[in-house]
Amino acid sequence: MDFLLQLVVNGLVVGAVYALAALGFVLIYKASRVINFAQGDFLALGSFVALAFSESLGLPFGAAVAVTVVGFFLLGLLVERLALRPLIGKEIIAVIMVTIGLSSVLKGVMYVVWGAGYFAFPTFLPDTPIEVGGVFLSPLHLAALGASALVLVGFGLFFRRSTLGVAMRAVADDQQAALSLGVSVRRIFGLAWAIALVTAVAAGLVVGSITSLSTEGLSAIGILVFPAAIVGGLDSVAGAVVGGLLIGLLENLAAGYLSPIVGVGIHEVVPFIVLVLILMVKPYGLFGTVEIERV
Amino acid sequence: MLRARTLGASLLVLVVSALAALVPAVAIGAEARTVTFGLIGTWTGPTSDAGRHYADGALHYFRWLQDEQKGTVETQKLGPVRVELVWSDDQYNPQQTLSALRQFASQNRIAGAITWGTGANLAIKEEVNRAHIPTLSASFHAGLLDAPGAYNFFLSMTYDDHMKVLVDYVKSLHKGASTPKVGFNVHPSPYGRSPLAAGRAYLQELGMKAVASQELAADVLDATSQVLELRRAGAEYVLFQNVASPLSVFLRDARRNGLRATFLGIHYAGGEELLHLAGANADGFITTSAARTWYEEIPGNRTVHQLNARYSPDEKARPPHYAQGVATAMLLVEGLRRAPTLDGAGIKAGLETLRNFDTGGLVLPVTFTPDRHAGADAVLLYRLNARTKRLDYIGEFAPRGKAAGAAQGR
Amino acid sequence: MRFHVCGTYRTRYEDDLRVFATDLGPLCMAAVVAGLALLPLALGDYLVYLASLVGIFVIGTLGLNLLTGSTGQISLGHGAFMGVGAYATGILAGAGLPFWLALPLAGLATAAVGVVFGIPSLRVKGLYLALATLAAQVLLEFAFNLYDSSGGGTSYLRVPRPSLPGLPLASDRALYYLVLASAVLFVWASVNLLRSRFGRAFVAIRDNDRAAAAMGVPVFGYKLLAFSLSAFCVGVAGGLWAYLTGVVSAERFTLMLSVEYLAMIIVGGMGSVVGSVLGAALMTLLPEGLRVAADALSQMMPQVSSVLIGLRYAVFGLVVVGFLVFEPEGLADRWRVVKSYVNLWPFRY
Repeated sequence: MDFLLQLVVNGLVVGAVYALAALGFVLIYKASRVINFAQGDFLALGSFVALAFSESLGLPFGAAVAVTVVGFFLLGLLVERLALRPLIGKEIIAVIMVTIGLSSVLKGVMYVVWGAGYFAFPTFLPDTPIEVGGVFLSPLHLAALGASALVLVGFGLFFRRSTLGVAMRAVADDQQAALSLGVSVRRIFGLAWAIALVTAVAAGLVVGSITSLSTEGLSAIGILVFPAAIVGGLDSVAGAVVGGLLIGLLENLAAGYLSPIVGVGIHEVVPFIVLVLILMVKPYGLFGTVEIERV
Repeated sequence: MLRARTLGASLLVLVVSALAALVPAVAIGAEARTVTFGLIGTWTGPTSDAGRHYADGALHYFRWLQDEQKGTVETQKLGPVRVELVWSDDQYNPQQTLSALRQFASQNRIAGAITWGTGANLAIKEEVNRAHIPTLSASFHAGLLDAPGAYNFFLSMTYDDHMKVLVDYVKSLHKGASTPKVGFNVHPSPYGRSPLAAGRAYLQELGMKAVASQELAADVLDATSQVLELRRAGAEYVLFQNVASPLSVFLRDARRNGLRATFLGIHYAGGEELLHLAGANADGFITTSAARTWYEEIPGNRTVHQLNARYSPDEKARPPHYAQGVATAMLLVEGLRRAPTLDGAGIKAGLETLRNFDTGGLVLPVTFTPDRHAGADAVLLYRLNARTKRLDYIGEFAPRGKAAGAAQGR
Repeated sequence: MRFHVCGTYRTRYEDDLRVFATDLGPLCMAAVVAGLALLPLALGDYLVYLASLVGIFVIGTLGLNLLTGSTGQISLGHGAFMGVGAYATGILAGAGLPFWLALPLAGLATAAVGVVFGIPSLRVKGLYLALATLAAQVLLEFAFNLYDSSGGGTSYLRVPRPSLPGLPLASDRALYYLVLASAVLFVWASVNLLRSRFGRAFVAIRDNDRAAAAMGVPVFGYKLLAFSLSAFCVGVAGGLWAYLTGVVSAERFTLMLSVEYLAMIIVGGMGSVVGSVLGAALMTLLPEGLRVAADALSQMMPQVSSVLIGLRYAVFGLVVVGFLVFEPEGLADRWRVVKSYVNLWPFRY
């Protein structure tokens, strides 16, 4: 029972991190119907830049993070303007390809500037485990959980309460209608990218603290969280949360109960099997908007 | 539309110039006494955190040869021979390794090659033998040597034998009358799984028990489930064939969840990178290594420090992969020195005459014979020390049990 | 013999379905094929190998373009499908089957796998489907890694060279002709498939599958047919790749390869046979050209070699992004423009 409890708690903690990383996909998809394959690379770049600000320029870590967040907000606007806007109205697959190209560019930048190697954030939390009812948790994990929850709740509120958030939802819903009501669709697209990149920085900080900083390792997180983003539905913030938690949970349970029986790391593919099964029943994910097709 | 057209034109120019670059001078073989070697390293891409040190080591040795001896090696049978090096980064993509090898074989007529990963070496295996290019790999995968007399070499024992040394060491560490309970944790790839079967068999032979066999991918965020399974199974020792990043995650989760076991890994599992990443959690981790560390007093390290200071002054210290790269280059050049003829077959024959060849202590003395292409019978053991941030040398070990003799025959 | 068209004189449906508008077309085509057949006489081993690689990817790209470009089903699993073909060929050839049996059988095996992973297309559409095929990629990659030919999880497979009775095909040049012949066959088949009722049904499904259903196209059957044909093509491509390299190992058939395939059809031109050919050629030669260029430069300037090596990723990405921003219709569109320019020369309109 202890074993199960520990697996469940752990799955939820990891799931929260997945949810945070999946949020970046959702934000961009929600506004512009594009899947950003470069999200993992932005995540990696974010953590590298934050590390560079804090180590090379000697800024305190909090300030380094703040500067990085601002920088990435601007970078998001820039990327949208240069690479994505010319493709508005073009085939969706071409736009996806642009994000794949972007991913390659970002990798190149990281290799040129930081080279191949592992880096670690300065430890700002004690690493002594906390025991709660027979379950061990580390302050790092709790912090990650807290950060994820904070960002996710923040975005939930942002989309419900703020004018900008409502405008973004309007654009996602119907671009024509939003335009006629005076919402600048271009600005919203730019903002979606800017905000998505900010969440990439947040996810990069959390993931980087949990594991380590390396170009390949962090970029791969982008693919790792795809199931989380899809299961919940690509355009639903709540879906990202549920999807992340679900995938984290499944992975842990499979690793605890299934992989030892099979003898190989079957838990790595279990999320994808579940993903296909869920899509067969609910083709737009658990909470995704069902697209109404007209002939 | 003009913009689009200029872009189209410039793209065309780019492609054409790239193609033009594909057709360099083939006239390198004009001077009779020149030999070309190829270095296909992994400077970028997956595993490049270790791969770049290895590739740099080999590259720097050849640059030093160029600068100090005008690239000329005095051979035993063929007089002075000029050595040229061509190199390429394969980004850990086996397709690129194969393309680079084909390019070097056809355009540069390389007579020897130095390569990195398991996947890449498996992909070029057939081509290496077809083109008669003796290839020294950084992967110690037993499958590379499964055809005796082929052109694949490496300077250490196979991963299988590394694993056996760890099993032996577990036996010697274990106190008390109980059977030691051992768990395996490997990378889900040919690299990771390769020593698993041999390790299990050897464990059984020595009367020990495997309580778990797990896989841990490179990009995990969390290894708690694996740790919990090991704790539940009561594992006292965990043997790793994995790389530094997932290992650091595992070690942190192991400490957090109170898994009190001894952790042991093979060559690429953990050295300085693991110490750097996992800090105090890595303290006491035991690893096999084919090469010596940066801080030890051995003659070869003087060369290694000089090479690094000269060609990469920004790097303060290098992990053992750098020394391994230098030693690999030394071996290839030594093969050339002993070669009866100036081609791949000749250099293979030259390499096969090496008997306890000393690289200044950088790696254990290397012996190659026509049917033994794994260079060493033993391996070095180190214990990671988080306080000094160094690796403490334990000693030199060879697999002891019955199965060991058979494995060394390969 | 007509060599030049100055307008549209089509009066029957058959005219619309003609492959070549003028009699010049077949001549040009024959000249191109003859040129390609003579290529090995002029090139070194390495360039012949690259040409074979291009041919292999042309076949695979034709397959993906049929599914994604013509039928509108995005697949992120074609890298793994290619692996299925490669492993199947390796196993069959290892069992002693000649290549002319092993290759089609490997293609059929891949087609069967393609159908299985095409089943979600019954309900799942668009990007969601793309990510469902990503699951195929991940699952198959996992399976390849488990494949074990000689014990110990080596997951690789040695493939004997193809041979014909009395005619050894052991050399790279001979293999090039095998690839060339296959590629020509697949191009021919693709062109003709697209102008048949099957091709029209595929395009109808791409444009709107409900409308297609309303017109009496059995949508699901045709989607599965597209999946299987497409997988058949990449399966054969994988088989040829296995023969070319002599070894099949799991690390080649990663998600990266699936993405490369998508890049090929997008850069080439969606739903266009010419686009498939041009896209495959460009996206195979570009990384290779960049590698050779970066290597040559870093050998001239070893001090900055690490920078040059990193730049390869950036330049590759910039070319792809730049291409899509400035030429979103792909190379096929550019090809059309060039062709009409040549046709109309010296007049501009």
